Amino acid sequence: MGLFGSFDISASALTANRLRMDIISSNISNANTTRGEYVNGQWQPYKRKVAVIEPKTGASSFENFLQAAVSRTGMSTVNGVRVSQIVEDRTPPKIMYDPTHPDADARGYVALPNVDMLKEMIDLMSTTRAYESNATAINAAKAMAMKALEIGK
Amino acid sequence: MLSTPTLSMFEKALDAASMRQRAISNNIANVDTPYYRSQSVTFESELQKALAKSSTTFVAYRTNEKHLAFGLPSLENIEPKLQIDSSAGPMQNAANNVDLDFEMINLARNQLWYNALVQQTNGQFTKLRTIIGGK
Repeated sequence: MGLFGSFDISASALTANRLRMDIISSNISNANTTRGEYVNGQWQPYKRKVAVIEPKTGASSFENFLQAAVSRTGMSTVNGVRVSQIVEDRTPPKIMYDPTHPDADARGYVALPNVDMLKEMIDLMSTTRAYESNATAINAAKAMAMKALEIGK
Repeated sequence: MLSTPTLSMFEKALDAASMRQRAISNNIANVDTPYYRSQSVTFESELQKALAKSSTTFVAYRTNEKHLAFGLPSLENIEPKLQIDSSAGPMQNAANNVDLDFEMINLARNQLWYNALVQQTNGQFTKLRTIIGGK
């Protein structure tokens, strides 16, 4: 596993961050969706989604075991990052009084999604920065690989 | 004749630099991952230590890698090593200790260092070529 391994690592991070960005977009665009899912004859509001990320370990494949055994340099089994699952935020929905709303209950209250716009915007910013950092890391690895081609020229 | 000690040292240093690039990529990729511990590669400091005392050391001759090592390792035995930093992180709260600014600076530094090594390696080859040419 030479220099090209670092491309794979950064690429996995780009994928994970793009997925996180997709989830944030979904949350923002559904900030007012009262008909997220239909449960027991009643419409439930959209629930905020969160990506759970974890280090990607390639420990299960034969190649990785062999690689770790052959290189005595203490190569770690961490190989980038991945989104392991997408979970729903369990905070209760926001309740608003609006008797004219078609999804209001008998007392005139509407359950709105538990999406906090401020939180989403901050998540979006940090995800964008993380994406940029990984793109920079790919460029650095590429420059190093190009430089290595100059050896012995 | 072509495998001089200098060249093999450069080779190892280049290996260490590309391994460090991998470690930095991993740290940047996992900047938001809960419970992730940052990695680093040690090579140059070990090399410095060995170089500083290489003339006066008494080194154990080992025929098996399970034998106890005493004395300083010879230059050939120094390998880049991956280390996991278990200190508490300065800034994050999800038990993650990656410092992104530090990683980005290390990324730039490692790139320059790699370029310098490649240039020096090329210098070695140029010298060899001059000698072969005899002009």
